[in-house]
Amino acid sequence: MQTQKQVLGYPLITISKETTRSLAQRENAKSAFLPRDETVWKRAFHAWYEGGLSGVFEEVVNSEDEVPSWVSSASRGMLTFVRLTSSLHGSLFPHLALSNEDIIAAFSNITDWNKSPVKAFAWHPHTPKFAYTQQDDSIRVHLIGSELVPILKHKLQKNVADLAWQPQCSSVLAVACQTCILIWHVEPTSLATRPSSSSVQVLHHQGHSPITSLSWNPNGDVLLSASPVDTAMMAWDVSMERCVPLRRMGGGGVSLVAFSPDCSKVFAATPSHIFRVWETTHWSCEMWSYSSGRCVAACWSPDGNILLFAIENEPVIYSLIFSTSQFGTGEDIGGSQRAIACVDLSEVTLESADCQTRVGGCVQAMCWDDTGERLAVMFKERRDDSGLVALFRTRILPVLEILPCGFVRGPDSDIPQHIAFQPKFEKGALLSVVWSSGKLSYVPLYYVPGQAIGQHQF
Amino acid sequence: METINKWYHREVFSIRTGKGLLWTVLTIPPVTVTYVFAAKLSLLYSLSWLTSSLAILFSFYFLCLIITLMVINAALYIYGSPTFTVIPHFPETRLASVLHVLKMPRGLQLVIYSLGGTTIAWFCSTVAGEHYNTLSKPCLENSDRYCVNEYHLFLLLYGMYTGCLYRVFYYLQQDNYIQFPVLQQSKFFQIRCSLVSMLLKSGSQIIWQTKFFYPTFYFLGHIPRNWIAYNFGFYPRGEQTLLSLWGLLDLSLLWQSLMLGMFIHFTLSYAVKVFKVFNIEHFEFPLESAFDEYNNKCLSDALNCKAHPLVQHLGFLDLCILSKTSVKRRKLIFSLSQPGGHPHNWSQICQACLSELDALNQQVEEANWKAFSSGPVRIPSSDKPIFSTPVPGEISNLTFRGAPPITPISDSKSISTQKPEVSTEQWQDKISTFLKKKSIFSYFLSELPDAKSRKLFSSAQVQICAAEALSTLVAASYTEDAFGVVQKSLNDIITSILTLEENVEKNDKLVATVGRKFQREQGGNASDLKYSLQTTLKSSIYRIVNKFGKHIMELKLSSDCQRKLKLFMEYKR
Repeated sequence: MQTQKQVLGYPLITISKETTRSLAQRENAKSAFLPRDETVWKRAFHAWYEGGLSGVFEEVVNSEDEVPSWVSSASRGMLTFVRLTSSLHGSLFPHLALSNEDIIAAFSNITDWNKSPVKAFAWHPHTPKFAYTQQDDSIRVHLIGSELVPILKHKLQKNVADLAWQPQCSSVLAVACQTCILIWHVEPTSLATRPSSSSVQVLHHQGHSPITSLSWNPNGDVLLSASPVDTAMMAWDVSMERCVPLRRMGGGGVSLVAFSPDCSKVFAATPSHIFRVWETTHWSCEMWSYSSGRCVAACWSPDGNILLFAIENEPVIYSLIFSTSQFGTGEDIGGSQRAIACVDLSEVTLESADCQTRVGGCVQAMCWDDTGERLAVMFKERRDDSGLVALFRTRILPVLEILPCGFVRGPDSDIPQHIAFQPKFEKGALLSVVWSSGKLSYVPLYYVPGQAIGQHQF
Repeated sequence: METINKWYHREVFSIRTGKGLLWTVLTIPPVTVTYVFAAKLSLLYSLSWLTSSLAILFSFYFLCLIITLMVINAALYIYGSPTFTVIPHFPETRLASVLHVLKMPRGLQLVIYSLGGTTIAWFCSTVAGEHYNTLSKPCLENSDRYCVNEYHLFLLLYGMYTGCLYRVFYYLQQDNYIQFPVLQQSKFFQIRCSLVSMLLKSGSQIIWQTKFFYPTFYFLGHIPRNWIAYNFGFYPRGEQTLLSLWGLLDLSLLWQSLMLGMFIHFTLSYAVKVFKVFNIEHFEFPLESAFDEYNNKCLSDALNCKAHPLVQHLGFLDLCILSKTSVKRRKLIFSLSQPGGHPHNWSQICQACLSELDALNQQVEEANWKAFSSGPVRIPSSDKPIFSTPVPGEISNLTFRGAPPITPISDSKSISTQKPEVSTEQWQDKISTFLKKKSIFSYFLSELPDAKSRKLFSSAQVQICAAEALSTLVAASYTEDAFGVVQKSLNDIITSILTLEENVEKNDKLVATVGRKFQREQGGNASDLKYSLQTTLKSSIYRIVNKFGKHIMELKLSSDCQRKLKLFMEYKR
């Protein structure tokens, strides 16, 4: 690693996944102890602590020799009833029957959340700084040009699914955990490598977990959080630690939220076949539905007028145009009636000098840089995956134009796990890719943004 | 000419309160229907449950019940409406917080709400069933002697207890504090999304309070019973009495009282919620008016309206919202007057915001100085000792203006008072220091941690809005300000926000802070204003810095400000 030349002064990082994985955390403490003879009622009491009422019924049914027959038959009846209702619920929204880890793995934008070296990754919106979560749920914060790498650990920091830096602020990082949202205050001037847990706020709301997506208002005053099992998304006033639920019926949850960069709209995808777009003046929403799959990835254009999104099991990027973006014109969302398929990503075979590569397929994640001129798309993992990230050149004005631009290939046929553009990169755009081997690569794309050309009248 | 606060009270406040009243009254019928079904609930006889509930719903009595409940709730709503405030109250000691609730206008409210609770219970007791609905009943079946119906009495007292406790907690938990909403949702959704949490809160509160009511009734219940028996000529106790352990173990009575408590608590807290939602709704003040009559009812007048804090708060909320969302109104702020070409709108608004920020800045500075001079100071070994000769490095206690820092009586008085008063004060001090040594009294008399700091920032909502609005306007002026009206005041704005930010930060470090969790227990939902102010000030500076970039350093700021701003430019704050 030392022999490699550092590009742009950015740190060369290889995230190791084998050594950092701590098994102790996820295993039940129970397994370390020998079973002891207890009365069935005591066991049932413990089961109630661990698994709630259904745990009690299960315990009683499992040890029916020790209890009166009417108790065991009553518990059996209750257990059947509980399971039936939960399966009914599950059949309406299949994701509700999944475990927390499976839910996060299904809705995270990381290719293979369970095995990937990072569980979440986020660039700071203003300054060259990024944070990522490792497999053991510890977060590392890298500031470009500084040797110091703070490591954030907290006992509630489990199954991290998303990270988000607060805009208009230098130090606040929101972490979506399994049971709560942690707000870390990572002082940039502090020399501590392990910030204490006193610099963390815990935001918790009953029934709002696991949290899979976070999005800050670009003004930095509201944080939205979404959980695929809660029909409401929460709007948090972080400094006052209070929240307001934004609830609409239908969809079975919210899997992905994204504020538009101009602050005027919010995209909210659900685990079923609908998604919503909210306007932020009076928080009313419009709903779009489609026939196949759920929405897996979405990104806004910098002016908040165009939404690009992709649907599960369909190799197409759709665009949705909004007619009024600027405030002041009213509370209407102004979205067009139907989305237009604008990029066909069906699998193709590319022939280069030495080999053939197959590329394309369904979208796993995509991101748009903040000048609105480059779009990166990561595909869903397949067995014969070539591990390419597709890059597109885009133009928003006068009409949306998306042209293929190239591919990014990882070292040693690695699979990309996470892609992101660094905001505020002066010479164009800089794409960061985390590969399955743990390497983090930076792909600078040098160009002069159209806006700058307009300003300087080249 | 009519002042803005009078005009607001007449034209806006009364209409909003009236609309809220209408909604409160309109919700009474569905809530009462739910209550009837819940009170009549019998799991084993579901058919008779339905028929008995429907029989009540279609009776003339139910109509009377609904009308009475509407009248009572409307009366309580109107009676309670002047108690709302936009500035939270932070008592310094626990004794002060208790006294605050019992003080006269509020003490009377406790009585009125108790009466309201009793009346509701009286009307609802018929719903509960024959067993509960009369004050007297035959002592034995088919006998002429009448005894006090203890079940009815129990419900009446429970209603009174619920009404009174509701009002006590209303003040203790600062339910009368109107906070700006996180999002500007429509009123319907604001109320809808808080319904479930209100129900849960009512439920937990009722369960909590009931466990204290039972022992109280067991020990003291005979007093009201005997009083009623004496005054109405009944026999005090019948064949079987409720005032025994066995008598109180009546599940149906427990269910009836829980449901009644839930009903009273929910309707009262719903009315409060509706009032708050209607009155904190965004009000759009005009930026300038062509009519003379409305000339003093513009946004800048609202911002300066100290006589009516709600108007001032709504003015700042309006400014905050317009700075973020309305291009059209921002353009009006950045415009010049015709004729003359003066930026009147901008300078008035900017002046109002800056004066608020500077006022708070001064208060914080004073508090910092007080805290600094009264806190434990480490005297450096090289310095000459001032009062005594402490061992180098020893911690000595320097007190500000010589007043003992533990007294709850304000120390500024003791300077100007004359000799005889001083002696009484000395006695007071002696008594209070003596009492504080006893653990029970010290619980009530010792100063709550952070009380002063919270008091200092109790009205910070205005400054939060001011900083946010100013910085957003400044950031917008980068592209929208055609005449450069903002540039002139840019120096003052940045200096004000920077100094306030620094002073608040200092205050945070000087005043020993306790955990936020503890604060929330003490101060209800208003205790985080300081944190909110801190975050807002920082983000305000970042908003300006992010927009202007390196150009901001070309302003002619003082070197101190430039140094501080540089830290923000490097994202080190």
